[in-house]
Amino acid sequence: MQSRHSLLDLFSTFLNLSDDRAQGWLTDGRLHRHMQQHLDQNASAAEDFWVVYWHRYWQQVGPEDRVRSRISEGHLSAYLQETCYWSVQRAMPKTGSGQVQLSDCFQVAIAQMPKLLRKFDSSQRPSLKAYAHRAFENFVRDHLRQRQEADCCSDWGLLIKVSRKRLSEALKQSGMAATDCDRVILAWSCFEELYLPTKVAGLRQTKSPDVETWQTIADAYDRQRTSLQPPAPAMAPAQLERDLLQAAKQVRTLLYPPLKSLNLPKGNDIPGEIQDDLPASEQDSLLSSLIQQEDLDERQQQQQQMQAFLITTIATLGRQAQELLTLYYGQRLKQQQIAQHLNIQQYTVSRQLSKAREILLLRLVQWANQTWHISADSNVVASISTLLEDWLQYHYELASADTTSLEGS
Amino acid sequence: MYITPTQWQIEIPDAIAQTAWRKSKVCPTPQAQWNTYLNQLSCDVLLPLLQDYLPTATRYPDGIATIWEVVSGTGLQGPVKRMVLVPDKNIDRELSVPQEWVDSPEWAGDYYLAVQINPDEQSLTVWGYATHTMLKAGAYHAADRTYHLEADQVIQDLNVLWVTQQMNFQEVTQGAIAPIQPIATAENLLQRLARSPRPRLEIPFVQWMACLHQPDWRRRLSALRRGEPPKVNHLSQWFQNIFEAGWAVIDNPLIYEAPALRQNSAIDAPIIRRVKALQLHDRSLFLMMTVEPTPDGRLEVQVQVRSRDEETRLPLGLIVTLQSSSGETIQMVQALPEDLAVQLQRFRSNTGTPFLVQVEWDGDRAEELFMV
Repeated sequence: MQSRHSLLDLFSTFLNLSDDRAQGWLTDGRLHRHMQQHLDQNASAAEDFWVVYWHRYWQQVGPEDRVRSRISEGHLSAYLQETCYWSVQRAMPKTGSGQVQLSDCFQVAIAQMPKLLRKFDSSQRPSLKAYAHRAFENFVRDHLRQRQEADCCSDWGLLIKVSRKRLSEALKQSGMAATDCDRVILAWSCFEELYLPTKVAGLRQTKSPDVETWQTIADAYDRQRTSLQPPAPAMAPAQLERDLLQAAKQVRTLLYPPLKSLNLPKGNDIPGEIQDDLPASEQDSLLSSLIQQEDLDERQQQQQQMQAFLITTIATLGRQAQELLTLYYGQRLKQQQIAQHLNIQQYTVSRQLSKAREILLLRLVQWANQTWHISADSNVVASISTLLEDWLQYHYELASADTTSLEGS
Repeated sequence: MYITPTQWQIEIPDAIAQTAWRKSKVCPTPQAQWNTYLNQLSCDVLLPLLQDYLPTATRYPDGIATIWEVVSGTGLQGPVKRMVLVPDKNIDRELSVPQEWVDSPEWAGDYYLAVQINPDEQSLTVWGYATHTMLKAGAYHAADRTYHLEADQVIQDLNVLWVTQQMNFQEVTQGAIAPIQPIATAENLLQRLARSPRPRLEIPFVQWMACLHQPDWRRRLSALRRGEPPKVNHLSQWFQNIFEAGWAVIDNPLIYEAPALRQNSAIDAPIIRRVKALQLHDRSLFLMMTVEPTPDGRLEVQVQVRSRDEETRLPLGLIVTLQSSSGETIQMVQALPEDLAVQLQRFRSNTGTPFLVQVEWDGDRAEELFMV
């Protein structure tokens, strides 16, 4: 896949994911024109500047201004295309099982953009790319985990293992009216309360409740249905069963959303053209509150210092810890594979890797505390942890690429 | 497979899983059984591992196993900070903490660990944590009295917790928590909650929490829910100084005393008078029993009901009933507007005669079973 270099492309083009491969870039016309306008007015600004600019723009206009909100989100979505692609690649199982499609995961990940932008703090150290990388990767990993688990479950097992929140989300998404949602959720809560399996400590393959249990569930539903606003209608056990089975299907649909047209840029559903952009006065205040060029240089310098410190610190860890880091971050082996490779328990791998990671973070935070005089709270430590994770991936992949290229020659 | 070095994923050893399952099977309901199973697993697996970070950690409150039958969660008391483990069996990740662990100063923690258990795979994952402050800022569901944080609102990086601890950052982890007023331990409340399918949602939170704070009360609730037989008060045994739980001596002399009480008794015949606390809605009452042996070998019994506070009138419409073992009403008396106390007509019975005293007001009811 060719990387993009021009600022214009970075903020207005989207990956063409065809047959699950990246096959070039698609330009979104509106975003292109909008970005060009801004570039014309601020010719000297670099990539970092625009990232922070669009993010603050997005924050300032707020969700009520749909047009401007979508446009700024669109710019950032375009910017994060490669990041999302690499994150999804990393998070997907290595074995080409064919089950999991990259474009599917990509779509699910990029849909997280609004949440991501809400949580991102442009005044903190991890850049948007680093932050998004972590966020996309973690999200996709967890999403795949949930899919795998749901696939192992019978419908009844799924209903027992679903949270109220997820169920509610699934029902709403299916287009069910609010009163019907309430009714089904009540039926589900009666089911869940009364029907946890008591003979075997397993939930996945839970079978359908027997007739007697259905009656108990129906009775509980009947007792509580009048407390809803408006009161829910009476339901026979067979109806409750049908409703719950249907709900299970909705939950599965939520985990496997239908593939929309691949990676449709957000800008495409904005009606009309953007005539006037932000009034001049607002633009000025935005610009003046952004990072100055000196700050950017300072950031780069700090990054180099951090790199030097981390390399030294890793060398002080035990031999096995260093090997674990190389295998996990460099060769991207799963913990189970590492365990087999080193002939130790998976649990030991997990524990030692966590511990190594923890020590690195502790040293880094101590160092950052002394060097950069950071404020002392868990938010800052979390940010540093993100930086560290990103750096570890970058550092070990680079090292492993070097070794492979050497081996190849 | 899908975990990172910033989370813990642990295989639960067979021995631990089997023990936990065995312990959970004595629970009366499926909910109670699974609460106990999941919490026992969390404890047994995580306590040893947390020793590195919370040395000398002990579980709180005492007798936590009885608590699991009615509410999920385990407290861990470290040297300085408290941690609360909240296990979850669901697929999707969400930190869902019962109110008992958030809004009570005695139970609230500083950190809440999000523990996800997969019973089929026998695996346990600690996928993140949150502080008390974060939790209070989260969503509260009144329907099941829990505080919720979504996955992305939780700090999904345990190393942040350990490092923050080790760096000894003085950060605020707990918000202000209003104290819970103690209440009189009411037997009838116990009976009602013992029968309820979801006791923790049955009465207002502050009342429930006040009850939960008392170890004896918790044990009794657990015993009742496991189907132990209802307590009978054996009046003859009172003369041998054997009293059932809950009966106390009253210090102050009576303000209101039935004029006919001492009519037929000899001066030095033993009279035993005991009171027991009752709770009807928000009113605290005393059930007072006075027993005296009669010359013909029976016991004379006087039943009185009064407000706990001597100067408060009884609630209007309060009814006290005396029933036989077959449920037949033998006596009934209703409180009048100005009454500070009501009493039944004293009666005499042979040893071994059972009877029931019922106190009722505005839909709430208390019962005591006696045997003469």
